[in-house]
Amino acid sequence: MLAVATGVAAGLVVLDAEQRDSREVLAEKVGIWYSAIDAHVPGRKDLAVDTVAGWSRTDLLAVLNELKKTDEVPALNHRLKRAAMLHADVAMLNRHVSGYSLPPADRESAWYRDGELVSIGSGTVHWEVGRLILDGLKPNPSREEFVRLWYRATSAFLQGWSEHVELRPHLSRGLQIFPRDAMLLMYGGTMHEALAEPRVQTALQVRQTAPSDSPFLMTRTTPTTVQPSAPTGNATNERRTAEALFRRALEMDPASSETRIRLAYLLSLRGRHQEAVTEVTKALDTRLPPRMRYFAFLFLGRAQQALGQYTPATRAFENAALLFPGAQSAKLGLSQVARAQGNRDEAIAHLAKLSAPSNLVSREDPWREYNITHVPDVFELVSELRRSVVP
Amino acid sequence: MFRLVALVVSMSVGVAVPVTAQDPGPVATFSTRVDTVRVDVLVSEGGNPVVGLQPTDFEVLDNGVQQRIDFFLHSELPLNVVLALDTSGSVTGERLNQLRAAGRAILNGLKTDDKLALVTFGSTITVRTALTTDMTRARAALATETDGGDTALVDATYSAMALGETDLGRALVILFSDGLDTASFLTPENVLNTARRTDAVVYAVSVGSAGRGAFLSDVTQLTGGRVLSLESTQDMDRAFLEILNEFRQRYLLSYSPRGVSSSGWHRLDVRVKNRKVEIKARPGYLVGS
Repeated sequence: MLAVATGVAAGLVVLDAEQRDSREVLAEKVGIWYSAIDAHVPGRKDLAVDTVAGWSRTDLLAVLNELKKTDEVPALNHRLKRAAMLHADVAMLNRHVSGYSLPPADRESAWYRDGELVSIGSGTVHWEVGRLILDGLKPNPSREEFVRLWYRATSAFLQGWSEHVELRPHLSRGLQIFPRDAMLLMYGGTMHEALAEPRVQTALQVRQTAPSDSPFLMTRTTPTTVQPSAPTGNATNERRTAEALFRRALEMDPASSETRIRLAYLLSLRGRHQEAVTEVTKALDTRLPPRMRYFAFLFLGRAQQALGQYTPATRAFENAALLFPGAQSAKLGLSQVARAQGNRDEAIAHLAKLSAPSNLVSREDPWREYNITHVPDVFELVSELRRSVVP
Repeated sequence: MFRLVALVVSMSVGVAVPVTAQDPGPVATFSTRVDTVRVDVLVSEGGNPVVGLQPTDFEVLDNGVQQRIDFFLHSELPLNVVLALDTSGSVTGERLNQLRAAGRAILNGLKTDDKLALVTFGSTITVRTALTTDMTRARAALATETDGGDTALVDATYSAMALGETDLGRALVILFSDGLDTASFLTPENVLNTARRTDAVVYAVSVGSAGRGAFLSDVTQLTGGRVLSLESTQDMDRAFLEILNEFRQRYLLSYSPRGVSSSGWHRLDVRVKNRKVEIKARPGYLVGS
């Protein structure tokens, strides 16, 4: 009995020493973290970024917990915002075509290229940590414009990489905080629109025969790679969700021409061509940057063709082609309208122009980036976010 | 042969264009009449092509109405072969070499009057050569660089069908892909509508996931072709030649529609009298929108 008691006492001493050690380690880590937060220059891959980049989720949650114990709200909020910027930068500055050069997140995901499984990859915990940091703002994160900007910029970034695995929880939290934010609503619509596109649905079909049980949702990490994670619906359901989000976004901001264009595209895909014409015509009545104007003409042409309005459809595709003379999507549209009118020679003539030498005309085709392009673009938003962080 | 050429030239199909109340602009109007309908027919018995049939052996029903066959050909008309080859990011190395070898096998199998067009596709479509009898040029086009990226299968299918119809002869599209569509601007629905109007016969050779999608089976079925699903690209040259030889065994029937409405979907039934044979032909054709 005595031996047992002695053993327990010894164990407690060891435990106490371990706890003290771990407290010291944590305190030291918190100190390092605070220094990194204070020292980080937004947008720069500096020592602060490199210092916290390799920390585990457990470490990061532990230091965050310590920070939240601070009572002084102004100081806490200031540090939380800088911390959210730091961790967003850790993720953004370590993102490459092949993924993150960071310790892996908990969830594993399969990456697809051109419909074929090519490797198993992972996201990063720094996005989740960023969200948790902002949740700690007092009295409420929704009172802080920085939080809105953070969610807008980082969602645009994740959308730019088609990183839907992370984008889904990201937008979900962003919209919980700002349920009436037209831009976040539009991003949500764009994400569901992208999940309905052939690239993703194709990988879903491949996935159905793949021998793995991991949950599934794809992300494009390069123009040709997709990645699975949480469940993705079929194209019809994804488009239905996208339409609801676009409509909500337009309720919040009826002046958003981009939302109108995206809604028009969806409506056309869902066979509601006349509604699509109405929406896209409204968008074309406003000032649009060239890429959005291109999309507007492209979708107008497609909807008018479906309605049998071949002359206006031709005009719309021609207008699109004037904006991006080397783009194939407008030429394919022109060819198909000519073919539908029985004009085979003209249809062929448009196809012949598909292969115009790249030294004569830029072959840039905005269509290829439709699901990752927004106005303002990600660079503007991220720059604005970085500028907004108080030194 | 002169008579034959005259026939083919007269075969352009007038297309109906509905003018809707919503149409704000001027709209061209087109004839809704189809002058001549061509039906490419493969007749087989126990998997082997049946040759030597005469026009009187066939029966063609257009929307259930029996038609008089005006012209009938077998292995005589030059071919317009369009090769549409997937050279996306997944087609590299040995697979690409085998694909090029299959293309060369087709070139070697063509006759003097036959023409070839080559379309390659990845994220984008490249018309390497329009229909040509210049096989040196076609051979050089086969050796050019790949497209890479995603798979614009639907766009490529449309392009190939449209290119094949530009000249005299019978249009055969041989489509190769190792994946499902991931990049097209045109929608499958629209391109299948083109397939319902085309005289071209589309055969598809698929490897990997390509055969699992609905699009290839739909487009081949609508044009009277078929899908050859391969385990690997090793036998691709054999598959391409099998298609070419099979196509040469087909009969070309044509008739001027009588007793049927001018627009809409026309269901076609082709039969061989007094024989139990398998028939592969397009299931119908579409006039108007």
